[in-house]
Amino acid sequence: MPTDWAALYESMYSDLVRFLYRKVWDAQRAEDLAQETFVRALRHDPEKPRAWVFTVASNLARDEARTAMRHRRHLKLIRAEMEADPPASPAPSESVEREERSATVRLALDALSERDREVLLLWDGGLSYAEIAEQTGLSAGAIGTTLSRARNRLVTAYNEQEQRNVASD
Amino acid sequence: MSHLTDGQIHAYLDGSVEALDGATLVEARSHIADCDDCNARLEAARLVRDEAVSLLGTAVPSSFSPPPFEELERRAAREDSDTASETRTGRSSVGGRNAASGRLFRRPGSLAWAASLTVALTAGWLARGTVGTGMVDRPAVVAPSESIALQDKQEVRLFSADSLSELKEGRNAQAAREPEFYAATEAELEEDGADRWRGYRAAMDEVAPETAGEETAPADDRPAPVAEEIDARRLEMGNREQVAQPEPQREAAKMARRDLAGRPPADLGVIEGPADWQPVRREQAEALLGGALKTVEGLPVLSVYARAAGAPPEVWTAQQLASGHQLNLRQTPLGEDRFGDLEEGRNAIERDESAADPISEMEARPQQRQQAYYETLESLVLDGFLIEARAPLSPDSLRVLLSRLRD
Repeated sequence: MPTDWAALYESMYSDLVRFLYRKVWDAQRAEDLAQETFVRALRHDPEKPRAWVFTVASNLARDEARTAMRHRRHLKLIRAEMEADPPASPAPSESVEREERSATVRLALDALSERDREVLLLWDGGLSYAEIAEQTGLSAGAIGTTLSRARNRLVTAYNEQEQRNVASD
Repeated sequence: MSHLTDGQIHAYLDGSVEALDGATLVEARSHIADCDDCNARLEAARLVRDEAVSLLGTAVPSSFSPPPFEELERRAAREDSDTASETRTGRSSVGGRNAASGRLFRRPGSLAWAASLTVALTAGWLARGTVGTGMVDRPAVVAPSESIALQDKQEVRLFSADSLSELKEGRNAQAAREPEFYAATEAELEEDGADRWRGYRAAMDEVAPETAGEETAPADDRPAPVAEEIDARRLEMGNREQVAQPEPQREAAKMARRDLAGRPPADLGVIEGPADWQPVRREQAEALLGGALKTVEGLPVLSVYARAAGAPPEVWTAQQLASGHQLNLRQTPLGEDRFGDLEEGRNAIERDESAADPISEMEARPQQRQQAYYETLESLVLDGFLIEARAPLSPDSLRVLLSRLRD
């Protein structure tokens, strides 16, 4: 039975963008990669579309992250140089708090092992245990264990980072 | 039934019956109802799961807008068409997009650098007996191009630095002497990419309207190509002709071009920018960037590409190294945020170690392990631009080159 790509696109797009965003941490890039993934999927029409889409997206994000890392390293460098003359802090707002929380989550995700993070993000992207197992090479029975560990570590790392943030304020 | 494991509890929570790992759903439910310990662990796991979901929910883009599905369908059809066209003409896909590996940009080849170097040395050794002996009345060109199949389904065409630099030396004189040749080449190119050019032109007009009326463009909608661009596209045409035409016609075309150019045509690889980017003239690139395009002084510019859509603007430049390899530069403005207020001219060259993957990843992706060895990435901030450089050089050599960046 042919895949209804239009329906799949509609149902999966936001999940895929979220999945990619947590890998490249750039909304525009995440959207670009999601669209690129769907274009490739349309060209290849794979048998298992959901798993295929996430696999290709993951590979694209891996390459993209390499480029983004270079930008980040520079921004860090520049920030260090500007410490002597810091700009005026923006007024506290909801968006600022949200960004701070997002940044803390990002640090917490970075504290996970690559495999744990991948399984966690795939699950949050809507893949079933069986699909995650197929993509990661783990057994279906190991997915629950991996998810358990990843969730615990994420929450723990987030709380620890929050404490560090409070201590540094 | 014994106590449930943590994995089983999370599988149970997530409703993944097939992943309960030996226990059936009924058994698990029954056990949890009777076992205070497992029941408590289930509730604790539920809290952790919900907290994790909540945390992940904060790490999302504030908004996003999917394009219409039809747009992606058109793009897929266009790329299919491009691929079919390349297959028909036998164009090599240097550093080409590989759907399975998920490459975004057309990279100048990962293994290609090593492979071309090896073949260049071999070909040079084999040709040593003919060069300088007067046996052949032609420049020391390693020709015809040798194609090397690589494990990443990439193919690289070998070319020598001598042939390209020599071609470029006579470029301006040729352009003045043979305007009809370039006009004919442009006409052929128009058939090949009229849609692409129109889309590009529209995008460029939008980005840099002040330059739209200044071009002494041909009668069509395309901008006049710069000499470097003509060169690269002319060479591309040469490659296509070689593959697509039967032998007698190919020879005739070769002879015709030999007459026009005063030297045999070079068989050089196609110099292409990143996929989905558009070739631009230098001044258009500078209009897009809002400042001078930085290139390494003394190295020939092979091509200039710009990302016409999206922000921030980016420009990709290919320059020829003495070794025959490419130096690729990507230039993008730092923007109007506080980084734009940095003192001009400040250099912040930093060795970028991101090209080297962790060992586990390198084992999983051998082609990228090769890339880590054969390419060096450097980035710097110069005059308000972030510039990324990529070349098959040592970090020190690349830094020396980058110290020669000029407007």
